[in-house]
Amino acid sequence: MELLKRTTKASYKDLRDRDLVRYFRRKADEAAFNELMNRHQAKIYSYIYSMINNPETANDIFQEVFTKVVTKMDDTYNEQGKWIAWVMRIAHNATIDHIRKQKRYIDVNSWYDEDDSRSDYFDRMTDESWVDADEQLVESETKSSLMAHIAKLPEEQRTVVLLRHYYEMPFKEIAELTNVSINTALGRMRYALINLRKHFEEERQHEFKHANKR
Amino acid sequence: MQINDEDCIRYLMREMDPSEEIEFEREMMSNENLLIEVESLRSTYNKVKKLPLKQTPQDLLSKVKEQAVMDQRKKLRSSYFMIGWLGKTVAAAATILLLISTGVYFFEPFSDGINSNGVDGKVNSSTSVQPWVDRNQVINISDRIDVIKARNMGDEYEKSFEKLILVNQVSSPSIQRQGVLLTSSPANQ
Repeated sequence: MELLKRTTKASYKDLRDRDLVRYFRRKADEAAFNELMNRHQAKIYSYIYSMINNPETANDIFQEVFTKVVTKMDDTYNEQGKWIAWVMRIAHNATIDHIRKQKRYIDVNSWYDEDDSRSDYFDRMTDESWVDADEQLVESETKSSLMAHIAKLPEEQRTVVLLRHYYEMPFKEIAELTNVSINTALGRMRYALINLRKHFEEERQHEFKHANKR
Repeated sequence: MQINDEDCIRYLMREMDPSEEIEFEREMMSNENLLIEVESLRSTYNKVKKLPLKQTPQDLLSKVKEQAVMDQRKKLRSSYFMIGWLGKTVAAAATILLLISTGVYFFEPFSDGINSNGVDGKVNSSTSVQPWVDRNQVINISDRIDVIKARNMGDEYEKSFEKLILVNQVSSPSIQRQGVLLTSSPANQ
């Protein structure tokens, strides 16, 4: 209690996630929650956004994730564990749930072969839900093309790449989160990089052809 | 060292033990294809590392923060209410128990008195009083129990004599019966 009273806004920055979560749980401490959000919101949002590639849906999922975070915090979050890993699990599940629902809705005869990334529901999505053109203009060319290439990856490969990139999650945790063995998770990362290499190569050739035409 | 496909990723992502790492690097030196494979994956992964961090829209962020704090406050209020309700229930139960036990403690002596003055005039057999006989062969109990009880028992003792009836006419008693009568009644006093 004393510690809580003495904690000023400035010192929230020095606190660990675990302590901030405790303050939020016990006192509904707004400043503690703000600090948690400031630390992690971009990673969580980026993951959802990169998986979904639709700003409106990403916003809805982001909101849904935090409603679940508050609802489930007392029941399923263990203060000894990393808060962000726990939130990430919720964000991942919410995102995958949405993608699966969309898949059913869009009529996908999806088959996935790890040797070939050609079948992906992103390829068949409508233009509106595809990578937003305006957004791409705002982003630098390289970054937006990278986002587009990531979006073309099969869902399983994209998940591993994004979890690794945004959360620096060890493969053991990625494997647990996605319910596969570590070797499968490592294999998906490898295929993701091979596929991305292929996409970059295609893009380069495409640019080369355009340059020659001019 | 037995190299499999996943080892390249483990090496790139720095998920190998230091000893494994050294072994793997040694293997790369002797295996050109492996070296090319690893370097190619590394170059692609370096591009992935440039994946931008997307900031949450400010209005969405404020909305989420506000909602989360509101929901948590609501949860805390309901849990305080539950704790308060439970506390009150426990306090009420404890008060009732205390009242009952206090009542039992205070009313116990009176209930003893009622028993000793009972309608049938019987002395409560549950109280074990140890009377003593003085030099004059008088039974004393007053200093063994409290005054009220002693008085009551004394009265009972006196009354017990009043119940005895003198036997004036003994109709042809047998020797045995006469003996019994003589020994059990104060008639021959």
